Amino acid sequence: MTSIIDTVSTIDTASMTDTASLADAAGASGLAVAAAASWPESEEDDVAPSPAGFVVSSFSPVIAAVADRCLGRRISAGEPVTAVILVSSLGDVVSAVHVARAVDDGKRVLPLLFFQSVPNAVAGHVAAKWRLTGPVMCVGDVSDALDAAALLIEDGDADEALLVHMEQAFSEGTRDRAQAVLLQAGAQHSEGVRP
Amino acid sequence: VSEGAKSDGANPSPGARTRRGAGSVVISGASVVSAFGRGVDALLCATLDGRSAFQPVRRFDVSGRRVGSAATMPGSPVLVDELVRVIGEACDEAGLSAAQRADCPLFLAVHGDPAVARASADAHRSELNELRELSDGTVKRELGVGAFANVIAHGSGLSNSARAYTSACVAASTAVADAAAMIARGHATRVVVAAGYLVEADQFALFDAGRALAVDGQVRPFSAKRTGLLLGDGVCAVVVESASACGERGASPLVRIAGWGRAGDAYHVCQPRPDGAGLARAITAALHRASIRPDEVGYVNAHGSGTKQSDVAEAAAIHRALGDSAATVPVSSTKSVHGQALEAGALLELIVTLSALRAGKLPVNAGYLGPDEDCRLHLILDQSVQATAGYALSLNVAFGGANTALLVGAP
Repeated sequence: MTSIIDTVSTIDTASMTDTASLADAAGASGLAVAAAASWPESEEDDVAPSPAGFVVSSFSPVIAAVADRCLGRRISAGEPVTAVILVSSLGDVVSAVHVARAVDDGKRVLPLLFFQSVPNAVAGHVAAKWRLTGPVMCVGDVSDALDAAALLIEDGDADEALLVHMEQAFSEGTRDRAQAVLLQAGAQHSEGVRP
Repeated sequence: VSEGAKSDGANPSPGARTRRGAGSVVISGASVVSAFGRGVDALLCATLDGRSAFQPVRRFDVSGRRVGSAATMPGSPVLVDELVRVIGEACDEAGLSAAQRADCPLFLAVHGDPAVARASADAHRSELNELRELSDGTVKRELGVGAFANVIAHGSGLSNSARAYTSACVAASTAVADAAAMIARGHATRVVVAAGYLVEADQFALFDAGRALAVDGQVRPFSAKRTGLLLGDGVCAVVVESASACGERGASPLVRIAGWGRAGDAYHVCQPRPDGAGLARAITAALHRASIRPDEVGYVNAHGSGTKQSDVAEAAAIHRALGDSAATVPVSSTKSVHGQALEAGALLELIVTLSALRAGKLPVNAGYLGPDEDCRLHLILDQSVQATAGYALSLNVAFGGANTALLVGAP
């Protein structure tokens, strides 16, 4: 059976929410964007450097890179409690396919893959590096993540939230794409929290 | 949106600490299938008896693994079918009509879209893929965890605003906390929270490769000579709703969600913060929302994975958050009985916790071999004990330093 990474993907990374529309959607949820970043932002954004311990897949490295870029652009003020919210519909597909193949072929699974088997792992890397002490959560959809961010801030478990949206590219000639935004309470009250 | 909740959600100051009490949120229906079979009673009885379900795995080949045990139900159950079934049972217990279900969103905690890792090339060439979903037929859907959640919602007769949570061992507790906060703040009247993990070959191989599994075939939380965790089946659902909406339907709540809290360690990719400060903040937030003191907590259902570092950090967190009460509050990790159900674990354990509270009996911390001086807790050993206080905490932690605390109380 040919797997997902061998074929032309139906996941159109170009249609993925870009940073500008993410900012618009954040505004609709009553949130203000304090900093933003994308991957890639230039031709130099080819391969994201892997944080120690992450192997095989670009999923976690790209998240770490775009989060670093976003947080490096924030204007520091006090010591806010910052939540980390990762969004991905398919998750770390490359790692998942790698493990499935090893299991199906009766081969050894790399021990390091255990530590990146859930999206929380790279969230922990980002949180530790930037001392983000708010909740860590992962959801499958951007609008759900925006609503979750607004609710966390309104409900008091976080002052702000770093939202990172990542979908891996599979077809040749395309790139991984990710966006990161640092979200804070906006001027208007969040009336748009669904459902 | 209920009228009572509307008035409760008025304009908090943005960014400020605006936690509030949550007496208005209840659970009105719950259902589970676990290694002990169908139903809450079978699971509760096993946890009260301290009777573990670990046995050699027969669902898939484990001959190349270091460890070959897990807590599994017989056969090869299908996740979609089991999820739809437990959601239906929870909604039945809550007494929800078809119209009420159709208005109700689903928050689903799962590892991801189970079709992704082995989807064929053909299945990925079209935007809508024919994939076997419900066992009674084939449906078309996109790939992705949100699309998977929508299949479950559709099959259960719930509204089409399903949300998927994938944050490992705190996925389900995060979903419950979100549901409770939304209801308490008037953004929703009712949410079905469901979660599912059925032991399968890929995660088993990863946990085995990571040397996380217990080589002696038992989970021994907070015990000397503990060697790790074991995986377990868990598919479960609860109906979370406002107390007023529950009352208007003439339904009786099972339990009140009195408080919730989540916080991060900011410490490491996969190791817990040794001093437990992150989990302690989550516990404190839950108590604060409920406006209760630590000595009013009568039971702690601990995360208690049975791994060396995690158990020590959790014991530290319980002491840090509960103070002097930590020495006397009864504690058990029921993972020692039903195993680690990953994304579904927190909901499985919340159901154990609320069922124990309702039964007035507290579950056993099974597999105990002797004290670990770094885990000084008042563990429930040998046999269940009577519940003497009205509140119980369910704690969960996950990779990435994610921590959650859910507090339930008599309605």
